[in-house]
Amino acid sequence: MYRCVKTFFLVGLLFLGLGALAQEQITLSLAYPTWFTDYPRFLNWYIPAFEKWMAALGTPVKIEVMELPAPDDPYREATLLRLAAGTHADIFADDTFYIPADALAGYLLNLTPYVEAWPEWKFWVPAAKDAITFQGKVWGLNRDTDVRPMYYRKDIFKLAGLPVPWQPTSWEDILEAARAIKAKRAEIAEEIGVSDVIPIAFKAGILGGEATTMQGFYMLLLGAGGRLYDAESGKWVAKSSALLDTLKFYHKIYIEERLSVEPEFWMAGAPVDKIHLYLSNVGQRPKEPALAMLVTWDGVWYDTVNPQHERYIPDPPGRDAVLAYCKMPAKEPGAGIRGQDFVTISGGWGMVINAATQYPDIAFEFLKFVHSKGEMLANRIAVPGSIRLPARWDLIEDPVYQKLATSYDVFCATELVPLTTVRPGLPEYPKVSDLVQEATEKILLGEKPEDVLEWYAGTLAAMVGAENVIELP
Amino acid sequence: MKKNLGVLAILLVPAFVLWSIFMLGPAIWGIRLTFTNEALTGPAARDPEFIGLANYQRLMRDPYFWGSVYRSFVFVLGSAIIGQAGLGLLLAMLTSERRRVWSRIRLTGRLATTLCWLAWVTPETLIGWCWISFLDYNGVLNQTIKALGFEPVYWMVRYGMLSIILANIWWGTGWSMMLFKAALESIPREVEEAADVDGASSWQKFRYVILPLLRRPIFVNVLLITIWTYGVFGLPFMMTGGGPGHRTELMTIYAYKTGFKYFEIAYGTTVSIGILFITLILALVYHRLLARKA
Repeated sequence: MYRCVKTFFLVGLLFLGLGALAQEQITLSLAYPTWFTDYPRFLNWYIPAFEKWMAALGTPVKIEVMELPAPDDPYREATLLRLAAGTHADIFADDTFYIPADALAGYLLNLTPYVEAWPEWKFWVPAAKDAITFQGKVWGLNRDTDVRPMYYRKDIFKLAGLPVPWQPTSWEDILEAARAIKAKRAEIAEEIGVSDVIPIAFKAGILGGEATTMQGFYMLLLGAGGRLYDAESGKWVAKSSALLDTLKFYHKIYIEERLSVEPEFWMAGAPVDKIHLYLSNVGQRPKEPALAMLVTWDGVWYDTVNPQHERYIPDPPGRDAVLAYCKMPAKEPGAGIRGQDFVTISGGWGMVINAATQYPDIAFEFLKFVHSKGEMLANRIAVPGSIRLPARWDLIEDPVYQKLATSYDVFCATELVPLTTVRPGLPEYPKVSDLVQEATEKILLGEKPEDVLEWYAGTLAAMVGAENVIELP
Repeated sequence: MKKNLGVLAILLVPAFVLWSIFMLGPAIWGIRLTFTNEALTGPAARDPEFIGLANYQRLMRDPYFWGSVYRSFVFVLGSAIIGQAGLGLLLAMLTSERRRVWSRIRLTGRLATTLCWLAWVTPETLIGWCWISFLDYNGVLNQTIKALGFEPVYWMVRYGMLSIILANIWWGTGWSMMLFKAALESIPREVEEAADVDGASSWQKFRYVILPLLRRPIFVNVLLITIWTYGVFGLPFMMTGGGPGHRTELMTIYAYKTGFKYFEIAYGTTVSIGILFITLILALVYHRLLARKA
């Protein structure tokens, strides 16, 4: 009897063990920027839905979330340290301008064979493909891209006697408007109920990070007909009249004519957050100033109607009564890049797979799920202001999607997208960007544009090698 | 005795193993790293190459590194040597209970001692936040200034170096004060009484009796706080982040930025080795001075 029980027990154990082996659960980890508006959607929808779907397919998968510090720079630091240590998430979001450097570092899984075997890949628009392609290989998937308009405050413009709606056609137009606002800043401030009115701001300084380069410096540089990297010669631009014009414009608004915040503003605290709060200040923060003109990313239009967001403009007056947008003009009509009258630049984030993942196939399944047309459309409906410039043209052409578009979305898609350009997709770019930020800080500290350009040229040559730089007229 | 040594060795093993894993190992790894071009991203992250002494050659020619060496020197001179040691000595003298510099000294002196000590035992991060909330554009100082009808100032931007020096003095003076207080109490009463009998003034007594007797503690303290202050990172980094431009970029901040902002981990380590050497040289100089004077 005893033996019988023992045998039974042992056999039972054996079966249990086998069962446990068969049931071994696959666990994937995911890192996504916590400050993105659709982060909760990952937690509440994508992850549970994907887990259920995979369980139904017979491969139970568990996705764990890895929370990294916010915002961009701490996220980047945490990402690279984890990648270098081999402890990063299987799937993570990467700003697309880091993809070249990270691909060369061997951190990213080459997705080319995966996308080629995926029938839906053909729906990606060329510009979106470019952002995630480096050296002919695909390293991630992206859902959308962004553009940069110029925002202006209608209430301030009206009080300053400026026309509304407004579309400047040159830098001089912008300066003229700024001067007109500056002349009446005290009365306008009193009228609105804020501490001061700042006519204009262009993002600047080291603390501004990539925002300084992309939303400040680049928007001016493109308008002066310049670039940081000359694709024709394959070299970085050390000197050009466009670079000098850009630095001079910074010098003009911050030092010469004092049309903006004090230069020190950009060197303390979290200036990029603050400048957006100034743009959306209609008197709800009476001790802070209001800002009349700012070039920034397109999503701000939606933050300002979201009551949960710190940039929310209370109603009344409501966003539509006070905030408006226009295109950023070139220095003079036709002086912009490719002879354009107006300029803008695009970026965006992509989702990539860690090259060290144990389960590349399942990770790609997750990417396919998140980037499917249906899920992107659902995301667009659930999270206002998300996926407005989709990476998939089948989504752009979808009648339901088109119905959702506001006049602002149409403006971005039809007026700005045709004008847009991208940052150089090269591993050196992030470092050159740091250099640009420092150049603007030097202007803020009172150095002459010519001296700063000289410094930029020398430091750039030392950084990327003298044989890799070029001086353009 | 032999047997005891064996036991001693066995007892030391756990500590040695831990020390090797967490101190010696990383240190050796770090030195090895400085001979490569290892980075946290880009091609060098995948295939780091052995590049010999190139990092050290770059360090020698790096104007930002030498700039940071100079700034660290100013920071140490201002905040440690003049600030903490000087102020610490003054406070130690003023609050010395035996000497009664002024009447009713007991209570004020003890209060001052406690407050200084409190600052010293407070964690760096808290000190940082205190100073930020004081000097920030919307901070206490500017609020006061505005209430008095003056224009607010970006203190940490316009007077960056001064701000971090003041904050570090505020933070570290307690240590020097305590050390000097202990040293002062250890001076034999008879010596000072003899000076009194000889008719020495307070200043003469300080200059010719107390100061010479304090030479050794002063040297030891200056050596200690110099080494510590060269290694200070958190407080100035929180307050100014090395900016504006590079104006408050101390050696430690430069090392951090190279490693974790520009992700050149090998060169960042080389900068750290540079810091180590500079601190080592200073320690040797102090040591020599101390030996000679003694």
